[in-house]
This record gives sequence, C-alpha cells and structure tokens, in this order.
Amino acid sequence: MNLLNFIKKAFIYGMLTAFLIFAVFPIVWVILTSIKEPADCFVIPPKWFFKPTLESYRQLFLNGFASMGIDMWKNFVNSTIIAISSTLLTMVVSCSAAYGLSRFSFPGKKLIAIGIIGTRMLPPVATMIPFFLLIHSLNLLDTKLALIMVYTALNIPLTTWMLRGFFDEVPKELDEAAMVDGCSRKKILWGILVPLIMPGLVATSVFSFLLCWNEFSLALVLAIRNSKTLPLIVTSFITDEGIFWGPMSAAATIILLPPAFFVLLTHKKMGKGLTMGAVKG
Amino acid sequence: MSFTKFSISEGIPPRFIGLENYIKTLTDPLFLLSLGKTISYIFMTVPAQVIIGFTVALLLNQNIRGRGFYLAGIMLPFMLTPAIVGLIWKILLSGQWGVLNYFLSLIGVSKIGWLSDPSVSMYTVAFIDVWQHFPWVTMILFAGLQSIPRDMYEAADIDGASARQTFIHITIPYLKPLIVIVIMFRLMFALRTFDLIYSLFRSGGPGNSVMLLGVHLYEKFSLTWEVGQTSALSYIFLILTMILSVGLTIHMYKEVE
Repeated sequence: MNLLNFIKKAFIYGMLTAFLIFAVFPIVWVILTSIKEPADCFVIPPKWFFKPTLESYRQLFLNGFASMGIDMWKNFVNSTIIAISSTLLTMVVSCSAAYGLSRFSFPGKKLIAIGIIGTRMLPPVATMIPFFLLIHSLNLLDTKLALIMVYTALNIPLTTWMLRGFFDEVPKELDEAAMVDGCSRKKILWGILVPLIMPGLVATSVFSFLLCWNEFSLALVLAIRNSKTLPLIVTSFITDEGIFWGPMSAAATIILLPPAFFVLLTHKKMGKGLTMGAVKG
Repeated sequence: MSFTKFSISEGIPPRFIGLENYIKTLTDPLFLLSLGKTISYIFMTVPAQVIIGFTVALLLNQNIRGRGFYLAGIMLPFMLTPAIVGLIWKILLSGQWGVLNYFLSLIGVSKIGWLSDPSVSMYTVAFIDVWQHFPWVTMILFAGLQSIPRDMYEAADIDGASARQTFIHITIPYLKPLIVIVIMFRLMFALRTFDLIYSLFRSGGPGNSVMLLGVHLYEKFSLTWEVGQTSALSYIFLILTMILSVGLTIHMYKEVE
C-alpha cells in the first residue's frame, strides 16, 4: 500500500513538473537568448553555459533601430502611461458600478449584468472599424488619449464583473451598521468596503493593467507612430537585412516581464475573481 | 455602414447599396477559405485545451506540496500577449536555428519548417494556441475544484465510493456549469484569433494556410480601406460569435434566475 502511494505521488509530481516545463520553457529560453552574445544566440548545438551580457539590450535601447520605427523608450513610456491611466480610470468607474450591482436591486439589473459580459464577447477585430472611424472623427488618431479611452471603455465591463464578486462576499450587514452610525453611501464604499476587498481590488487592477499592456489589434489601427505601444513593435525586427534575433528577444523579455511579475504576485486572487464572476452569473 | 459603398481611400461619401456588401463577402472565395480554416482551427484547439487544462487542474487538486509554485508557473503563458507569444515561438521554431529542431535532430528527426511549410503551419499555430490557453482552463477549473465542499468527498468515502465513482458523481456534476462556460469562452476566443498569427506571419501564413477570419478581416481593412465591405464582414463575424455564445448567454440567464 505504501509503495502504491509512493508511485501515485511520484506520478502526480512527475506529470505536474512536465506540464510546468512545457509551460515555462519557451519563456525561459527567450530570456536566456536575450542575455547571450548576439552571435551566440543561434549556435547549434545551443550553448547552455555562457557569460551573460546585456549587449542585446544595449543595441535595442541605444542604437534604437530608429530607422525601423522602433523607439523603445518612447514605446515603453507610451505603454506604461496608457496602461496605468486606463487602469485607474477603469477602477474608479467599475468600483462604483460593482457596488451598485452588488447592493441595490432595481428593474433591469439582470439585463445589465448580462449585457456587461455580453460586450466582452465582441471580437476586438470586429470593433476595429467602428473605433477607427470614431477616433478618426474625433481627430484623436495616433494619440495616447484615444487608446486610454478605448481601453477604459473595453475593460470596465470585465472589472465590474470581477469586483462585483468580491463585493458580494462582504456581508450586507456591515453597510447597514455603518449607515446606522451615519455613514453616507459614498463613505461606505470608499472608506469601508474598498479597503476590505483590497486584495481582490489589487488583483482586478492587475488584470486590467495586463489587458491594456497586452492589447494588440486595436493599437494596431489606432496608433500609427506617436502612440505606438510595446506589443506593436514585435514584428518590426524582421527586415530585409535579416532578423535581429538578439534585440528581438530582448524586447520580448521586456514586454513579458511585468505580466510574469504580476502573475507571481496575485495568481491566487485572480483565479478566484474570474471564477466568482462566472459562477454567480 | 455595412449597407453602403464607402471607401476611405476613394474619399467618396457613403452610398446606400443594400445587401450588396454581404453578397460580395459571402461569395468571396477568400472568405469561404478563412471560414473553413477557422472551423478546423477551433476543432483542433478547443478540445485539446479543455482536456489538458482539466487534467492539470485535477493533478493540482491532489494533496501536493508547492501547489502555488506549480500554479503560478503554469499560468505564465496565459498572461502574455499573443503578439509576444508569436515572437517567442518564432525564436524557438525558426527552421535553421530553432532550438526545437535541434532537440528533434538529437532523436533523429530531420528539420521541419514549422512556420514555413504550408502543410504544417496550421498545426503549429494550433499547438501554440493550446500552449498559451490551457493554463486559463486550468485556472478556472482548479478554482472550481477547490470550491467543492470537502464533506461531499468525506461522505462519499464513508459510503464506500470508489475514486472513479466520486469523480463521476460528485466532481463532474459540480463542475459542469464551469466546464460549459470554459468551452464557450474558448470557442469565442478561438474564433477571434488574430494577433498570434499576425505577429508570426503578418499575413495569412504561407499559402494562406492559416488565413483565419480575424486575419482576413484585418487584411481586408488595411489593404483596401473599403469600410462598407469590411463592416459587412465584421457583422458576419459578430453574428457567428453570437451563434456560438447563445448557449452561454442562455445558460447565464438561467443562473441569474
């Protein structure tokens, strides 16, 4: 029996480790490639031991690849500004919205709840044209503001959905007690509930940040030069003179680090938030 | 707009032309091709994702140490943007220098043009998509598994149920709504696949072998600037998504009730 248990355990750990390697290996490989000498990137057989160097990063940032329309600093700053401001806006709006959906009952509430998730079903590629025309007619093409607005509008539904699950977990009696003590609704929301659901709130904001950071298809049509974000540059490393593998993997590393970092930080809460929304409907 | 002739490049104002755009789109051979590709793409990716994702979720749900570590590691691919995923795999799969071809050559398989061979590239893209999205399935189903009350299993244990019986009569019924949702969401996301392919090929791949609907739509828009016709295509796209998601919506509505 003991042996059987041991085999079972070994099997489970073995399988999990295999899946872990399957999931992580490509990412690790790219990071390794980015710190090799550019000349060593694609030596066959691959070099497993090498002296790490930041040569690829130096090329990427200093040489700038400006002729190919890559300006890493600018794109990096763009991405950061857009993702952070859009996330802040999203959170302010969706906190209030989620509170409303969680605490009040009003006619059409169910419909709103379903409509919220319905908007997420729209394929982003299909929204490309309406957004393009809208932004074009507002004369905001190629500005950061345009992307901030669009992302905020797209992310509010999902974050509301997630936050609502977290609000639902806080007992209603708490609100009532606070109200007896003379608290206004606004104060209850921002002073009591928001601090209470802080971990959930952080996970939701991280999620919203990542959606902005990773967004691709809309940025592709809405940003032409000045407001280009990081994901857009990935295809520019393939030129007629060949492919710049070193800088390309360096760029990939820079883009994938924030998501990787945030995942390690908040993965538990995020799974919970997404599922709660899904289960509760 | 989808009922008008309207092209940005020609600079003429929209003109009403009825259903012509739809007829044009639906009879476009490239549209039919991309529709077929999309359907086979969905059949390749979604079942694999759900099966692998569910397996991993079940494994994680066993009594193991370092669960958080495994979960975080396995979740990584899902958090990356498909554009970067395309880039990563481009580095790994490159025909001449790719590390995957190197590993294969160690076991005696000759070089494969993962991305350049039209007959392989579709499977490559499907494989990458499975790689990226099975963690999402794992994450949702794992959270679902965790929420099954422990005493259900204890009760089953006392009644002498076998592991298989417990699985079929407790785990599956509990997870059923979640599994339905997961499948629906994956269907919708597979339908809209675009950035991955764009970052890999910047087009429909070698010989249009991975010309999915999303790519077709983007190419149509960026190459012709025919807003009218592209809008019609968008609507067809949207209707397809809706058909797929009707089940999900009905299901959710019932849950709310």
